[in-house]
Amino acid sequence: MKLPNLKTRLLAGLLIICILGVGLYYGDFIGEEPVLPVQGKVGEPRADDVWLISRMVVAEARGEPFLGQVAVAAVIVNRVRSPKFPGTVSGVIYQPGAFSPISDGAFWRVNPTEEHLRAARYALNGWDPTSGATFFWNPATSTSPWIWGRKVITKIGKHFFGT
Amino acid sequence: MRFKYKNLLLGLLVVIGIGVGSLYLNKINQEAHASQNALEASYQNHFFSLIENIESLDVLLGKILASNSSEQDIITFATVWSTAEVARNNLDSLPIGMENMMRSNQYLAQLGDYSYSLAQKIASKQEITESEWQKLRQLQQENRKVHNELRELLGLMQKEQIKLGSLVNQKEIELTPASKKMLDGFGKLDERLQDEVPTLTYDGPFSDHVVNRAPRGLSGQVINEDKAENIALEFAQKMDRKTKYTAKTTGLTKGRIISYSVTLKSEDRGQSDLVFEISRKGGHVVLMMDVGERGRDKKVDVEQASQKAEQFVKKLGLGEFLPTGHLVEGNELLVNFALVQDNVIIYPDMIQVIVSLDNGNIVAYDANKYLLSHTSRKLPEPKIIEAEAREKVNEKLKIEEVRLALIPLGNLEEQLTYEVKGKINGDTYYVYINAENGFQEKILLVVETPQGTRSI
Repeated sequence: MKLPNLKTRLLAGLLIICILGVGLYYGDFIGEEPVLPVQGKVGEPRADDVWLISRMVVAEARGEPFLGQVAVAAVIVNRVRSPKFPGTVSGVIYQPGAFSPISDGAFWRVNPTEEHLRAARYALNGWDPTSGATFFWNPATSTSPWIWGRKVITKIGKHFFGT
Repeated sequence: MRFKYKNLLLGLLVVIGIGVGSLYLNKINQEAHASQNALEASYQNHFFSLIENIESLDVLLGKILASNSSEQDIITFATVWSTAEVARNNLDSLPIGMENMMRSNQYLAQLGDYSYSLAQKIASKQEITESEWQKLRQLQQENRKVHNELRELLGLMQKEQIKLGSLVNQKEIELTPASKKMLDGFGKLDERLQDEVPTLTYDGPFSDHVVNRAPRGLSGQVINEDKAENIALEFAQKMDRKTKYTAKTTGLTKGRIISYSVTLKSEDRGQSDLVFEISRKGGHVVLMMDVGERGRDKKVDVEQASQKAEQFVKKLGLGEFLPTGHLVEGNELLVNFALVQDNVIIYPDMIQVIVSLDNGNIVAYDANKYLLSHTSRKLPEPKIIEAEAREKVNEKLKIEEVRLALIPLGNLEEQLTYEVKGKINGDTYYVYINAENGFQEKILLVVETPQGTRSI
């Protein structure tokens, strides 16, 4: 008869949606091998900076070539050095509205791997494939007209870099 | 009869479902409001604090201009510096969009920096020039304007009951006319600072002339892509990679140093690419990175890796370099090198090499600092002898080693010093004594960790 089939299908459908929902929620935690954040201490002040920057590298440049990841990390370091931006790594990263992975929470869900930590370390030690860029943006997802007014320095992977 | 029970059950489940659902939604709603309110409180706290800081700066700058005691001025200048830092921190916590606060950030950074440099001037018994007094007066007038505009914005916020949280840049959320007016207010304030703040050139890292400096070490002719590719290939040869590479220029980086981006691909598929930035002027290698994954073996120890780095630097033929520190991170060894000239360590001219501890390969190179600061120098003769420099340090410091070193000061100046390495209270320090007047220029704490040494 038609009626029981509809209800069963409805129940089955709801059950599948519930399972998918739970799966999506926890999905971010499976896949990449988590690396424990190194605690900073006196004399190793940069461990915290590496932790912060590597997370932003994953959130913003997942899937980009290593060169692109170092470039993204370098932009953060360049901002710390610039008088136009906050003067600490945490200040730059947590500046309201500066990075979308903070606004949407992705920053706290990612798991940096050794490669991302290396990109962050290289940038903190001075490697800068962008030669001074303080901005990066993805032309495919960037809608702000303001960002297109920046001076372009170079393009690496899917990001433009500029000042 | 069976159908009826099933209907009833389903109906009951739906009602329970809606009930639980709405309770849950209500809970989420309350949590969201609590978060928003806590955040709003934080934003407003920063806003009020910022206005208080700007007001303090008003008063402090006025007092300096009115004062006749230079000893007192040192303290007031230092207080201006400290207050400007706090103000900057508060500004950076406001949700007004970074594009609306870049110039304001710079203004506060430079105001603090400038005051600090003037405090240092007085402390080393120099006079503040008339032009510097005038700049201070301009800064005070500028600061007063900033103060007034911020108070207006505060009034607007209070009158229209604007929540600062509503100013956050979000595509989906449309700004109300009141919020937009407030955001525009911040934007205009920032823009005006662009035009009106005097160009500040002084002894400090945020001084315009330091921030915008051109690289000094790019000697030589402008080269083309083919030449850049050859330079990359020659460099790879020196790295002792037992493979043949083909070079390709992937673009031009128009940054502080204009450079060609060159990628070397190995004919052996198992080998990773090498990427280069090579300066257009002079064909200097700015940086090199092996972009492959690093192996986890430890076939090479720190001593051997260090040797490899030193041998590599010798092959580069840039001059005599001394390793000044090393660090092990992520199965790689980073070694810093400083140029040596006439037995003096030239710290600003620094290059860095990274060696993989997996197989001893050179995997990264950076000469950015060297290319920014290297120039042909005629080093002055020290006016005090080493024995005098030893006298100048803290008497409790147990001296281990003394050598001559050229160190960078906060601005673009460099100073010949005696680098005195010594131990006190179980810690090692480098004390830099000015070789011309015996002043203590700088102290660095040397931190030894299992991974290597750092000086801070």
